[in-house]
Amino acid sequence: MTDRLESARVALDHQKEWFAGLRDQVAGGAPLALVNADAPQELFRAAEVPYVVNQWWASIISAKRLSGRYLGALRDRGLPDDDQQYNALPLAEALTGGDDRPWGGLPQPSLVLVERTGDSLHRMFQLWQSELGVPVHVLESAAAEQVPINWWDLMSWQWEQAVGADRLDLLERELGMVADLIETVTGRPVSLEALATVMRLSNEQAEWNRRTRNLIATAPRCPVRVSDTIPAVMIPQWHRGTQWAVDAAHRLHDEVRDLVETGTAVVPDERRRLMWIGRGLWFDMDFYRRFEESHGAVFVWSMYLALAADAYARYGGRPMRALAARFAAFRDQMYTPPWSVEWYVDQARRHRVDGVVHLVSADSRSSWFTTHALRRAGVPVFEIHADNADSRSLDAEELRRRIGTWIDDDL
Amino acid sequence: MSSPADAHRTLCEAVDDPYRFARRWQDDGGVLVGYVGDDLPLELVDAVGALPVRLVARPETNRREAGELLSGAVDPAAVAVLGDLLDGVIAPDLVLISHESDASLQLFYTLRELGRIGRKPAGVEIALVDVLHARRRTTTAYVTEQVRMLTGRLEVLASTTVTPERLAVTIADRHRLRDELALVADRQRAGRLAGVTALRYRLAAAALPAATAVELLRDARAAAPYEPSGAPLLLTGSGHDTPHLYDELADRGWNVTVDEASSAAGAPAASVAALALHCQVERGGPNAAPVDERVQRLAAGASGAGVAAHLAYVRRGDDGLRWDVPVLASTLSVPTALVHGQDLGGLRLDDRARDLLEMHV
Repeated sequence: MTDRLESARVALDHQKEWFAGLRDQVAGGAPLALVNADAPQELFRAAEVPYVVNQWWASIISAKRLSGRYLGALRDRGLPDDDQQYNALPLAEALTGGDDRPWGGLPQPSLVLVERTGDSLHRMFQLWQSELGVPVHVLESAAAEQVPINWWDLMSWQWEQAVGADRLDLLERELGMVADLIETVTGRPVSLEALATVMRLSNEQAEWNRRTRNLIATAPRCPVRVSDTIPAVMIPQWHRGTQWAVDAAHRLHDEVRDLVETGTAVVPDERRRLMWIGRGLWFDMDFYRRFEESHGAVFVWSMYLALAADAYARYGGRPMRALAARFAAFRDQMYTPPWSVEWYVDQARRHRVDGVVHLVSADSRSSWFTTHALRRAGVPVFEIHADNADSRSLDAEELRRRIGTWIDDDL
Repeated sequence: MSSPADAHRTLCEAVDDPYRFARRWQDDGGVLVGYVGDDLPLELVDAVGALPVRLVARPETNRREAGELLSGAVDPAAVAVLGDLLDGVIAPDLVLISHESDASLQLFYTLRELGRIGRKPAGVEIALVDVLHARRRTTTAYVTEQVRMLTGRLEVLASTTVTPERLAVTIADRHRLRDELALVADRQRAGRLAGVTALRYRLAAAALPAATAVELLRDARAAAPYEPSGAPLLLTGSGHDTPHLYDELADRGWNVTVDEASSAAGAPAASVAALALHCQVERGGPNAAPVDERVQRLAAGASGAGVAAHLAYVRRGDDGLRWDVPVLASTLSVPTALVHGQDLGGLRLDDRARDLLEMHV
C-alpha cells in the first residue's frame, strides 16, 4: 500500500496552510485563543475567534524534537520539567522564545481556556497569566459518584442520563460565563445560532468518523495505519464545527471504504492485530509500523479515531447544554473506570485485537484497571511506562526489542 | 478537665494511634464515618450523631497492593489510605471522599471500581462529595447541591434527621474547634509552641469528637508542654498526617513555625447552604486554594514569624504544588529549597536542600 493516506496528506497540508494564515490574521490584529483539548473550543468557533489547541501545538513541538530543550527552559525557571510535559510544551515554548520555533512559533494568545482536571493543569496554565500577561479562564471539572457503564451507547442522545444533570447544570452555566469573557476580551459575540450550526457540523463529522471506525473494525485485514488515521482524524478534530472538517472526515471515510473494497491491507500477510492505548508517541510515529514486516503485526486501533467516533456526538437539547455534555465528562471516557475500561474492552473485541500496547504516562489514571480488565477478557497487554511527548523517557530500540519478544512469546 | 500535661499526652496518643477512639466508638455501637479531604462539612456528620474520623496516611502501612491499584502516579498518601482500608486497619460504616486533590478523586474512583469488580474492602461504603472551589456562583450552586445530597445520605445512614437546631449546635462546636486550632497556629508562629506539637494537636483533633478535642486543646493551652527550639522554618507543599517530617526537621535543628495550616475563618450560618459555601471558599488544603491567595498567606505568615528559610516539600505524585514554588520563592525574603518526589514520611535531600538545612546548624 502507499506510504500515506491521501486524507492524512491533505489534512497535514491544510494545517500548515491554516496555521500560516492564522499567524497572518493575528499579526493583523485578530484575537487568538489557546484552548485545551478537553475544553469547549466550539465557543470560539461560534464567535469566529481563531484558536489553537494546546495539545496539537505540543505535538508539533514534540515532532520537531524540541521538547527536551523547551522543557529544560522550564527547569531553568524552577518549574517542573517532568510533570504533565505534554500539556506544558506550548507554555515552555512561549517562555523560551527564539528564532527557531516550529512553524514560526505560536503567536501570543489573547485568551487561554483550560479545565481544572488534576492538581497541576490549572496551576501550569495560570503561568500564561502571571508570566506572559494572557488572561486565563479555568473551568470547573466536576465528578460523578455513579455513572451508567455503556457511555458509548448513551452519549449521542441520552447524554443527560450518561453525564448527570448536576454536572451539566454546572458546566452549562460556566459556558455562559466563558461566552461573556470571550465577548469582553475579543469584542466578538458568541452567536447561539452559530453555535447550533457548529454543533450540527461537529455531529456530522462524528458520524463520518463512526462509519470509518466501524469499517476498520469489521474489515478482514486492517486497511490503514494508525499513524495515518491519527493526523487524518485529529487535524479535522481541531477544526470541529466547520464544513472543511466534515468534508475531511467524509474524505477519510471514502478512502478507507475504497481500501476495504479493494482488499488493500497494511500488512497483506496480517498475523497479529494490535491496539494502542494511550496518547500518540509523537516523537516516534514510525513506532506504529515497526512490527509489520518483522511480525506481520499491525496497530488497528488508537483512541483518536475511536474517540472521534464515540465521544463527540451530542444531539438534541439546547446547544450550550449539548456542548456542556460533550465536555463535562470528556476525560472520564478515556481515563475513569468503569467508562474507560469497559470501552477499551469493547473496542478490543470489536476490532478483534490479539494484544494491547498500553502507554502508562506519569499522569495516566486507573491504568491498573484497564490492564486488568483487558487481561480478564483474554487480551494480552504490554505496558510501556513513559511520557508520550518526552523523548528522554524512552529507549526506542530497547522498546522495539521487548515488544517484539512479547509478540513472539505471548500473542 | 485535664491537667495541661495530661491533655497534651492524650492528644499525642490520639496521633500515635489515630483510630483508637474511632474503634471504641464503633465497638460501643456508634456510627463511624471516615473521611478524606479537609473541605468536607463534618458538621453534618456530627449532626446525625456519627463520629467523623480523618483517614490518615501512615508511612508504615503496607502499600504494595494499593500502590499497584493506584498505578503509582498518585500521592502515596492516598495509597496509604487505600492500603489501610484494604487491610481492614479501619473499617468505617461510610467513607466520604472529597475532590480536594486529584489523589483523593483517584482514591474514590479506585474504591468505586474495586466495588464494581467485587474487590471492595469488606463493609466499606463510599461516597464522593464533590466540593469544588472556584469562587463563582456557578460552583456555589453545584457544591450546595452536593452538600444537600450528603445530608440526605447521612440521615439514611444514621436513621435520623438533621434539624436546624442540631446543625446550629454542631456548627458552633466545629467553629470552636477551628478557633482553638487557630490559637495553636498563632502560638506556633509566635514560637511559643513547637511546630511538631502544633501538627500533633491538629492531627489529634481530627481523630476525636469535636467537643472532646476542644476541651483537650483548651486544657493543653494552659501551659506549653515543650518549649520549641531550632531555627524558624516555613514548610510548604504536601500535607502531613504523621509527625515524621516535622520530627526529622527538628532533629536537624529546625522548627516549623509556618506551614500550610489555614487560619480560622468565621463560622457559617446554621444552614446547609451556608455550610456548603464555607466548604467551597474557606476549606481545603493547598491544592484547593487559589495560587495567589496561598502565596500571599504563606508569605505573610513567613514574614510575621521571621522564618529563616523555606523548604518546599512535595511528595511523588503531588506535583501540582511544584508549579507555585518559583512565585512563592520570589515573594519571600529567605532562601527556598524544593525537594520533590518524596515518599510518605521520608526526607530525601539534594545538595541545595542539604545546604539550606545545614546553614543554621
